[in-house]
Amino acid sequence: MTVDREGIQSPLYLDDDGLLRESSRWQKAVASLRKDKSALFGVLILLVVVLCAVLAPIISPANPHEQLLSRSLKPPLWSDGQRIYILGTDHLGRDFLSRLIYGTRVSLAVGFFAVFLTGSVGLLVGLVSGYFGGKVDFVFMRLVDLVLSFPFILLALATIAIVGPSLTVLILVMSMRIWVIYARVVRGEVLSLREQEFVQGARSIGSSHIRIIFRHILPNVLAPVIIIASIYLGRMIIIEAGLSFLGLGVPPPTPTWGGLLSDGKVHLYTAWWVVTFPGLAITITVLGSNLVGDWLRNVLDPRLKSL
Amino acid sequence: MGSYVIKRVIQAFFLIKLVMVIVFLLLHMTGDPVLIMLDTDATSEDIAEMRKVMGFDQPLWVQYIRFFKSALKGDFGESIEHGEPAMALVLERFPATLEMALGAFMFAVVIGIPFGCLAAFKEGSLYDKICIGITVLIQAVPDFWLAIMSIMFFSVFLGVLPSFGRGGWQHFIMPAFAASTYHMARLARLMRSQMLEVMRQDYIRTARAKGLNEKVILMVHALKNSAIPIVTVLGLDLGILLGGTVIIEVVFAWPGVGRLVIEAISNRDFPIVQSAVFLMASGFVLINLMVDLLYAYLDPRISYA
Amino acid sequence: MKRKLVLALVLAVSFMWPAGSVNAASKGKIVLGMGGKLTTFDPHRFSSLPISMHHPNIFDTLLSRRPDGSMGPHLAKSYKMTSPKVWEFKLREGLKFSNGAPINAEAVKFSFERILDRKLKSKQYSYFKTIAKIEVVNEYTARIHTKKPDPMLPPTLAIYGFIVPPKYYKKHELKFLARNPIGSGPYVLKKWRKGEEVIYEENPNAWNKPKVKTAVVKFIPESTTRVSALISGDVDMIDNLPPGLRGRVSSSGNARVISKQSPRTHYILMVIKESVPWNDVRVRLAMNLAIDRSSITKNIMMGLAKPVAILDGPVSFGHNPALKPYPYNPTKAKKLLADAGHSKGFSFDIYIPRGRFMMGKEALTAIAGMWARIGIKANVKVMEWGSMKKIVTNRNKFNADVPGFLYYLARMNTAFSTQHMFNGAISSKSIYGGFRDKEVDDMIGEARQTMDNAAREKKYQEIGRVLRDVKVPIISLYQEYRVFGLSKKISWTARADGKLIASEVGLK
Repeated sequence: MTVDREGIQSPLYLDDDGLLRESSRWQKAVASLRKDKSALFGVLILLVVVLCAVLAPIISPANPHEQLLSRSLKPPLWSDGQRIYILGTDHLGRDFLSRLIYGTRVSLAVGFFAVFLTGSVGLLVGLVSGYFGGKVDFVFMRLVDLVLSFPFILLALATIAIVGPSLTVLILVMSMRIWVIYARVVRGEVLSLREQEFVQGARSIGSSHIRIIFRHILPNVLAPVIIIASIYLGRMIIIEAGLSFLGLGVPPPTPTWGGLLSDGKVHLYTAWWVVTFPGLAITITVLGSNLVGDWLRNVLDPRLKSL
Repeated sequence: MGSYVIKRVIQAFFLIKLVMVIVFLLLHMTGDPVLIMLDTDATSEDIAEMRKVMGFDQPLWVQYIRFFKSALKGDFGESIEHGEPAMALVLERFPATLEMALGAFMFAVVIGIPFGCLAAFKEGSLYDKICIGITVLIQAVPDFWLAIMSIMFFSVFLGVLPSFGRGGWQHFIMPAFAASTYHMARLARLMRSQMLEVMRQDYIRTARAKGLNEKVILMVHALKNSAIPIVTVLGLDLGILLGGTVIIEVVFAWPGVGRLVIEAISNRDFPIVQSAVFLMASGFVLINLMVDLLYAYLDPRISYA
Repeated sequence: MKRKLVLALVLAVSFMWPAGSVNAASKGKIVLGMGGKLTTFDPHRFSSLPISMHHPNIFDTLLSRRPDGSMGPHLAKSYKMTSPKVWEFKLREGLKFSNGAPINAEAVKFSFERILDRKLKSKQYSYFKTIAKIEVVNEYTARIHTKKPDPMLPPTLAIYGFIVPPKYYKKHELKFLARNPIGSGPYVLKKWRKGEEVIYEENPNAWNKPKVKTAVVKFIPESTTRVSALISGDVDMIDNLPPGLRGRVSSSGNARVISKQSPRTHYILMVIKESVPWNDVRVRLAMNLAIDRSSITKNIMMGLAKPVAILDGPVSFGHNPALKPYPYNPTKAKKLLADAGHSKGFSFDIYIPRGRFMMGKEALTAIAGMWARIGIKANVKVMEWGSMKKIVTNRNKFNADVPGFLYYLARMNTAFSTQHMFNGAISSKSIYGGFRDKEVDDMIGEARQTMDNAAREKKYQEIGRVLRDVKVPIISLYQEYRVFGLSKKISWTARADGKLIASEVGLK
């Protein structure tokens, strides 16, 4: 595959035998993974996190909600004779490792669903807005401005106050603003793509708009969406932590990393494990998502360094 | 270009008005403030009376019109919990938030951009790797955590900076820096990749061959080419900063608008929330406008037809 | 030679003698870091816990609570009930407000009339609506006439009813008065930067001097920051110290921890109607017996709470010392449930406001866990206070089809009387209670009218017994401790009402 000055991607290249071949970006992607150690690290981290989330009930040593006050705030590797609490217990005597493992579910759910939601909406709006232009574009861009003019925290609090705090609300709230980023970037890409030769060519032979969008434009636009998504996955987790700190996060007893970190801060000196492990979990996961984002950016579309 | 500006300004007005309506509706849907205003010992007669006096028994659109008419005069109502004009209270706190936002912005730009450029120059070196490592790490730590940790390190452990509050430059450093870290990291990365890209261009190689002062050329060309994405990012960042300093304000006891609004929302202090939103929304819209104008100036190819 | 010696002696003595009068001016400066939010210095319009901690620095009430919880004369030098509906107050004589205006009965009359003025929309109105009129007998004597005999008037006068100079408060606009208070208290307001700090300076006209000349209060909402500020020396004292951080403060070497039981009681109220399982008193008793209160106070509150029998503690008037908190007996609880026909258990929602009660969310989660062990499923819903208040106030609008719910609250017994708690949670007209019982209402009404203190006390104690043993109207929990951190240079005695009043904080 070659990428020329105007950004047109041609699937053709000359291989080692001098033959004209077509390669997929994904083949190249996987190949580069072997070379780029940090990207490999990132992918591995995300894989571990996803596995934890999916297999939580199986790999969790204990029930994350089971509390026993007499064993509150016990340090890692403490044992009550019956079993070992590998990461200790929290202030209600719940096994901390289990809380952490189940926490992946929320963090990922929030991250992935928010990304999915924002990504799809943003993609759609960006596509339609950029391709059709005119009045449609005008309306959507004003909508974008409206969303951007809205103070985010206010939005979050008001929504949570009306609907009540819950995982769904949290995802909705975080999505409300971020789809705009996808929309803008996609729109920008579409704007430049639509003037390209191959699109003009397709129009001239009578392809319908839908066909053009899905066949020619969408594939070239997916890359930035994926890149943004991988970066924002990490950002979503950080935002969730911030909302938990302000008291707007997922309500108890559901464990979330942000919630664990925020609740634990008052135990900082007496029970270091209650803050250290959630903090590490957050940092490593976000690190992973950022590394993967970087790698994807390098591989899929080097022009998009600006993201 | 001139007519474009006028068009955008008019749009801005409508935008702000729309925001106000939405906020008004949202707030009223979350429950009326009479219950919170009155003490826990009030009877239902007291509640009904207070409601009548404050005008909450009128239909929603009547309330909104009343609110809008006085807003035009600059009167956003009296704060329910403070007993003082709401807009004045918000304006009183605005300089603090502005100071913080601008400070964070300044830190992000002044530290982020040079570091990013330097990393690009020394691509692949240890310095570069460390830079990348630090930026990635900073973006991976929740803001409130960073803030709390920095207080513990600089104020308690080292004892060199005050632990909270607003005052001289010593009070300003930690909160502004803490607020800037995410943006600083992002800016550094952005500059780095922009620089690397520019460095690879053919015509740069040509200029280098000609022996011109390398660094100068790089900087100039890099900045010119990356102007648009950087300006976009900066504009968005400033907007985010203005509205998003709440966490920093709470941790550092900084007397800004964010803190005021969070407390006001949970007490259903409508006038304060509305005043704050108006101010924030105006700020955002202004910034967006400036960014778009800058866009148009920098790249005339982009058509706004 | 002799003259010189005498002169030297006189000089020496005059230097050694403390400057000024016998009541020497206080010295020094303290910096306090407080978590609460102060919204106004208008003494009559609003009421909140921060207000009741700050305003006594600037203003005086007729009576006051001593740190040990007892009540006594303050701005009034004596008081008595001249007839069941008339209370007479004799003021201290010859005193002036900080602006020089005289403190007299006219000021007293003006102050209460200002609170009762409907145009002011004062939140303190309901405390004083029992007042029919204020009579000025002579310059320093005022009589308060109540509509009905009301033994609750004196305790209320120990918290609110700040006396202000009439001319000043008549002359200025409300928004000016909110920031420029004039009173007779130990301090005057030197400077107030909202949300940031208050600077109190000694009032030269004060009859009741502050311990320290200058007191600066800084507002710090985040608890970890308060602790950091104390340890680093940026402040000398903090309130609302989270229990988990006590150890850090004690081991820091330059600060110590003081904790004291306060009359702030935590409890769980229930909406009691025919359709709910807890309509049956056995179920309510079971739910009480299923809770291991001492485990919660020990492990979650870290020893900073004390279980109570119903709603009050030892400093409350009407407290019945013979009543003990419910024992922890899950077996009996299960049996009671079965007797009432609920051996399979049941489920409901239970609400708690976010961030409002110390460790409330954690405690409620633990309680839910304890109920789960006897088969009762409680869905803990942490809500924003405003939303929750709306739901709770509408509790009676739920019809039989909508399930009842429970809610976790805490109430500060500022009046130090069980009557205050009954008003809030037990009587049929209570703002938050879900319990309606005519017999109990009658008992409370009768007790409230009883003017003889000893007889009234007995009546309250009997009500307490009936509530705990017979009626079981609520899930009783505990009273919280107030925890403070002080630097080594501060000397201070904790108050029984848990308040931190700057004028009482001294330097060693």
